Amino acid sequence: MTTARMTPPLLQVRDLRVEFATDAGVVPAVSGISFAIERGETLVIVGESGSGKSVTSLAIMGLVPQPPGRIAGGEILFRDRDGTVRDLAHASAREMQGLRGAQIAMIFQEPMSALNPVYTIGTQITETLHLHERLSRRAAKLRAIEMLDLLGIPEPARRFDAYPHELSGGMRQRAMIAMALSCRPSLLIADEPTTALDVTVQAQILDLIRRLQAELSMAVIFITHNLGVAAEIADRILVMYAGQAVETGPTRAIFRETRMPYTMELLASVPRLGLDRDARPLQAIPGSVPDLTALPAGCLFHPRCRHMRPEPCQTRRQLLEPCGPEHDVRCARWREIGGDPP
Amino acid sequence: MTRYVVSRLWQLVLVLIGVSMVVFLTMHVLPGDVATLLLGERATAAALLKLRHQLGLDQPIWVQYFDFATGALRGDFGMSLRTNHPAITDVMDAFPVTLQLSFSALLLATMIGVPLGVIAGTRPGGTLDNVVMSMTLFGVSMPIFWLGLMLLLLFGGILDWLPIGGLMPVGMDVPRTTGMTVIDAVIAGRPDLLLISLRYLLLPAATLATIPLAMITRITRSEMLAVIGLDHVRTARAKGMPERRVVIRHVLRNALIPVVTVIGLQLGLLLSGAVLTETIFSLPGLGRLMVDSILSRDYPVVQAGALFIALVFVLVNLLVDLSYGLLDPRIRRS
Amino acid sequence: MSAPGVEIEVPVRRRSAIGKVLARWPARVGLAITLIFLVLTVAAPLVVPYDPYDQDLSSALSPPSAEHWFGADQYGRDTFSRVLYGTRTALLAVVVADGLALVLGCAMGLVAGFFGGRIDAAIMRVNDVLLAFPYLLLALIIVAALGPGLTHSMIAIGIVYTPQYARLIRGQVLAVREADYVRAARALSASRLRIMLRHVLPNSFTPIMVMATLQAGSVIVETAGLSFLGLGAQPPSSDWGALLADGQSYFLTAWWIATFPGLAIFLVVLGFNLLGDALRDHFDPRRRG
Repeated sequence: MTTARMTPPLLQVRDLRVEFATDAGVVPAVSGISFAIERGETLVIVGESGSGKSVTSLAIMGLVPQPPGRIAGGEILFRDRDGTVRDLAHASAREMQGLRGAQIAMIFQEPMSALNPVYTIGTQITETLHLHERLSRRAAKLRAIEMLDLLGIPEPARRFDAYPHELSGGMRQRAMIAMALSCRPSLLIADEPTTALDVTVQAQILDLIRRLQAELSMAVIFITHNLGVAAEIADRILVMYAGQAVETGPTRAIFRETRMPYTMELLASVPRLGLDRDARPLQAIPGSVPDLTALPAGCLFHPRCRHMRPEPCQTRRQLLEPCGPEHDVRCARWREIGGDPP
Repeated sequence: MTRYVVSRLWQLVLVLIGVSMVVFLTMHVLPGDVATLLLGERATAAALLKLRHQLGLDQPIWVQYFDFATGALRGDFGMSLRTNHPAITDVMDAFPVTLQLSFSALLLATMIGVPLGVIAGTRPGGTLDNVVMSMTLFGVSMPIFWLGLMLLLLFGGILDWLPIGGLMPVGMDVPRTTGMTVIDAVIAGRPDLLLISLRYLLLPAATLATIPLAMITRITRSEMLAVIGLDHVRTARAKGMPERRVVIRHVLRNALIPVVTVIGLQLGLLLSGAVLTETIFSLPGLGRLMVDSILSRDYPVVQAGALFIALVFVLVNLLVDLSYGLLDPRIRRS
Repeated sequence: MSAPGVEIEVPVRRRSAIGKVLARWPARVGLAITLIFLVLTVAAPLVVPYDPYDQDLSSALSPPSAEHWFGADQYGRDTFSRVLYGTRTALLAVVVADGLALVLGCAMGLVAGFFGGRIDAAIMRVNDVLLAFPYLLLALIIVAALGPGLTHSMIAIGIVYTPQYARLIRGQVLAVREADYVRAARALSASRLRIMLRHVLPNSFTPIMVMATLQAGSVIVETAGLSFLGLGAQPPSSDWGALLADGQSYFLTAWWIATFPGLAIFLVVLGFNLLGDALRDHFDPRRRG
């Protein structure tokens, strides 16, 4: 350890690598991600689909499907409730079962399919409680109703007996969050929890996550492809592209002093509600996410980058380097490009 | 839900009318002249005419069908030509034997088939999966009347562990209440008779279970495979639930909905298979009764048996349909 | 200009499809068993060591030996020869019963699907009624009506399997009916019958063949089953079911009489099932399991 700290951070991911075996060979879904997060903090991981953001979160949960996937390297250091630090990349299945749902919880994108259609909301919430805490049936039910109430679900006692298909999308996602938070985890991973919802409900759910984070002083890792959502709740932002971190820093720095051309493109593709909807057409990023089985030489983003120069972009793999206070970027030309939006 | 039940019941009535027409037509129109059949080739023309009149055969066909249908509704199919009992009585006497046989076969097939399907479905492509799937292929390709004989030869003949047929040893009877030996032995409070009746039931039930077992294993496996990749299973794992419980509570429970349908649909196979199984193991069941009645041209019993079996089959299919609601809350409340 | 090109393309595509099906070993085993079975139906008279009906009381009930590979029955008839001859009744059952089901079912399905409305409803009700009987029971009452015998039992099995073909073809017709080229043909005022025969049947060829192969095994088992019950082929026929019924009376003393015909049924049915499963998996990947 180079930095002297009193206590290690809640979660520290170091050089995480995740691979998948496919017919086309071994695919590096995540190649060398590092970040740390403390209680009360919100880290937003931003990227297009296939960037490795969801796989990163599954790796922390120990839910990378194996086979075909495997954690090929790195460490996921998690500070337990009693203060001991464990490496989740090498934890046993039983250890992970004890942590999942209790200290690390996760909510998913599609609340309809993420809930089991054949059990009531109540059953699915108390299930988590029974797994991790010794509660009587009655106590578990009371806790579950309390959680539903906390999540702003009207008539929580009645909703306890409702099946997922009887609730609206927003209510389902609230139930999902109630389920995740029922054991008061210290880390919550939210994988695009608002993507399937309409805009007003999105805003409500984001508000709710922010409020509960403060109340329960959780660390939140929020995964999204939408920088607009990131701006709402992030303390820090990590931008991923093709399995790598390409820019990371405090939210303010990412938005005000954007260094990486890819982040600039993402920013340009964010719809700005009400402000200048008519002023500028929404820009889609040209090209598509690279095929992980056939990655380009040099900078992975160069085929889609408007600032690309044959030298060094096509030849040299760039490392993440500091470009400001706590602000890192993976671009050889960030000094020349400057912070102007494209 | 109520409307659904009503419409299903209405369909059922229509199907049963159709079934009764098929049974009526095959028995009354196709086999030629019933009167000649009853009286023999050498009967005088006058005697034939008189009998035809007695039987109502000189009436228009729709009148005959109406008579048949109203009789059937009262359970009146006429007297058995062999035993001189009312045909329906012979059918009802034989039914418990078939019911007990079919039910124990289904129980056996379900109790073995569902776990095998779970084992195979959670290890797709693995050795166990391949072994189980090969077994199901053998199972569906097996002529059960041959399998029954081979089991008899092995366990009844060579090893001499189990009896080679019948319901109970000759001269031994269970006090009859339901007509199902196992249940009657329990009702009579006779563990000795229970054991004996179970020993007699084992081979026939195992034989009859073969094909349903293969089908149930296959459908369980494929449904497990379909459910195990769904999002809610990942949610259950994210709760920290041990894998075994995830498989049972969140995969098998959801997979069961189609599995139950298939289990219910095995009844057709079971009733068909019962005919052959009862022949091999000399059981006095409905299937055997039907075959004997056909061979001796005892048409009242054939008609009564055919309608009765079709009724049971259609009713069970209806129950299976309705049981969806119990297993799938999405249907229950809509 | 384009027409010859199309004609050349079709067989090439077919061959590669069959090649793909046969890439897996279960399909190859299935095909091998089916081919051996078919060859034997033709070659039986040439390869059998004895006339299957020749009685030789001196070797009655003799166990398998070099002389009688599968032993001999109570009249001294050679079981091996009788089992080989049994392939002929089995093939006959496939051709007659499966064929009857196919022709009847296709006709019903075509008419129902193409005309729709009341005709469709009426035909589908008839289908429902047929499906309201457990398989063998329907066969039983048809045999009861027609009287026992091999031909009657094959007709009965054929009728039992008709609804499945009818459903299949009706679905195909409904799918094809709205396709552009059928509409175009209708716009050109081609007759309905012509449209049905020219467009629906060729499109349905593959699923029908898959179903016919899958049903072939069941048809053999059930025809043999009826013979076993004494309702189909009658002694002294060398039908496998009749042989089994014969052997049942002696199974504790002369196990070979019943064992070998049953084994033959099992193998042939296994062959058809392996082949049918492989075809189905290939042409309908959704049902692969």
